[in-house]
Amino acid sequence: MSVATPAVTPRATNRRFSSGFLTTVTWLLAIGFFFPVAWMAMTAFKQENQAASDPPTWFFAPTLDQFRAVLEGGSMVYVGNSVIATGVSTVLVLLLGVPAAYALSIRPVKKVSDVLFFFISTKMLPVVAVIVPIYVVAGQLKVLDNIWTLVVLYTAMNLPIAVWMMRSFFIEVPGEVLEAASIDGAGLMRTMRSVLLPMVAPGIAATALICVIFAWNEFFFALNLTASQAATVPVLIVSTMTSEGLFLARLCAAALLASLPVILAGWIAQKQLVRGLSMGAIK
Amino acid sequence: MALTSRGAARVVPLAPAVVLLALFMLGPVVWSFYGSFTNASLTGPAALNPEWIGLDNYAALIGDPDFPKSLWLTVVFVFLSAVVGQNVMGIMLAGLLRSAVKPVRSIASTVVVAAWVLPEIVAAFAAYAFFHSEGTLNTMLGGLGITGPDWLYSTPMLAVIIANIWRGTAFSMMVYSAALAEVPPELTEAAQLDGANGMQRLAWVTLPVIRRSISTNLMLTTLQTLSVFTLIYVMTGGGPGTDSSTLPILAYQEAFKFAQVGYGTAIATVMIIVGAVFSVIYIRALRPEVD
Repeated sequence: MSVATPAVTPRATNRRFSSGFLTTVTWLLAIGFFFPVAWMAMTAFKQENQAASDPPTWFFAPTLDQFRAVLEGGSMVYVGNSVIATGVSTVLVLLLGVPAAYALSIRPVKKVSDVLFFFISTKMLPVVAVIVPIYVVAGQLKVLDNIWTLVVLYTAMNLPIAVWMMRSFFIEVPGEVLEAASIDGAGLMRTMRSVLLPMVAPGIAATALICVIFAWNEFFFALNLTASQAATVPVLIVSTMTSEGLFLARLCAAALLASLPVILAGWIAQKQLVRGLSMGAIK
Repeated sequence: MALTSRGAARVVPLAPAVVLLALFMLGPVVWSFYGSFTNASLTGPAALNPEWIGLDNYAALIGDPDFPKSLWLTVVFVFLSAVVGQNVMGIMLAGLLRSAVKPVRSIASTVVVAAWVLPEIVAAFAAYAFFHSEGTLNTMLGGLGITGPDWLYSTPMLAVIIANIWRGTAFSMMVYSAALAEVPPELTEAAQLDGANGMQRLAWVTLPVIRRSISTNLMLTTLQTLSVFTLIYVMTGGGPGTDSSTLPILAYQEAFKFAQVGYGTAIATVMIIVGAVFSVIYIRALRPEVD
């Protein structure tokens, strides 16, 4: 007894110490991850000369001048293009992806894993490897600098991950529920509409948000395939860099505005998103 | 008859998606593979009528001193930023967040995920602003009386590797959080009763149980990192010289800057092969199919 008692106390202290230590490490890592983003957000509210000062200006009168400059500089064309490319491609992904995910989960086709592998392998192709053929063919078809080219490409780009995610939600629907519906005489479309879709709706919503995030953020295709007509918001960010003068504060303001929709989408969907993405990876 | 219609019912929902992907993702890769055996270029006569030149592009690659260097930089970049950085950091963060109290957990994971949802171009500029000679890092070091080097010039690979870890860790963290949540607590408790310490429990109980997730995640992060372009292009442009020109940068420059499409597509083909080699290694080494 007298041996056991002192052995317990250091261990408890040790555990308390290590949990405090771990919490501190977690905080430090989180701050490290957040720092560049916070710095960018702060810079966006500065004047250009404050943004460029060394040592940095920590205290300043926040100004909305940079945001005004970004919004007034004809940026609505870019925003409009981004909204079309993001919105239409996401709708198309769902229209094509929901049936595909259904076919791969509820009534599996033969060789599901091969089909799934085909989907995922296309997602993992390096974009640099596909840009040259796409550029050349788009040039021949005269669809360079055309927003619908981006719509089609973003649909193809997001389809694999969407099918992958939605399948992980579909396979969690218990088979008995579907059998019950079919015993009750519900046809395929009826089962789909009134039994299946309501059950997987949160998953489909999360998938849609992921597609919105990826399409809104896409830069490489937009940069190489558009010029003045079809350029999207990420391209606008690059164009705020001028060869002369100071542009850091305005760049940060543009970057912050461009990031707001996706940060909001990511924040709203975080729980579903984590689940959908990671279940796709582990199941 | 009944059989065929049932077969059709299963194939029809898949067909449009498969066709779209084949057309716009696999099609270009096949074109690109074919292009690597020709002298195709963006301009001039070879742009319209490229000629078959066999393995000349690949022979030229081997003779080009930039290529082995670029291949090596790519392997270093993938290994340190994806295999080591994102995976170790991801599993560590997932473990830390599991043991953290609720508010810390939700704030920290939101913050890490925020870095991941940022537009790639914004993340690239944020990393550039952090590392360049008068950037945030050197400003802070200056506050401590240290004159930092021009990171992007003197240690470009280190800068892009750290930036890619920062940008990509969230995905691994999400995958490993979900994986750790599925480890039966009885297993680790039993090991603890048998006297295994924290590291031993991790090495002999937790990691083997989640090895399927590890294998999948290693593959996904590797392939993702292998195709990273914008981050490096914005931060260093592949420079100074070719000191941070990974294969995507080299392929892009050859094809677009120097208009050597055939040569650029040969590099792209090598890139796809590198990805396939990494994938086979993971699948063989971790045998995700054996449970």
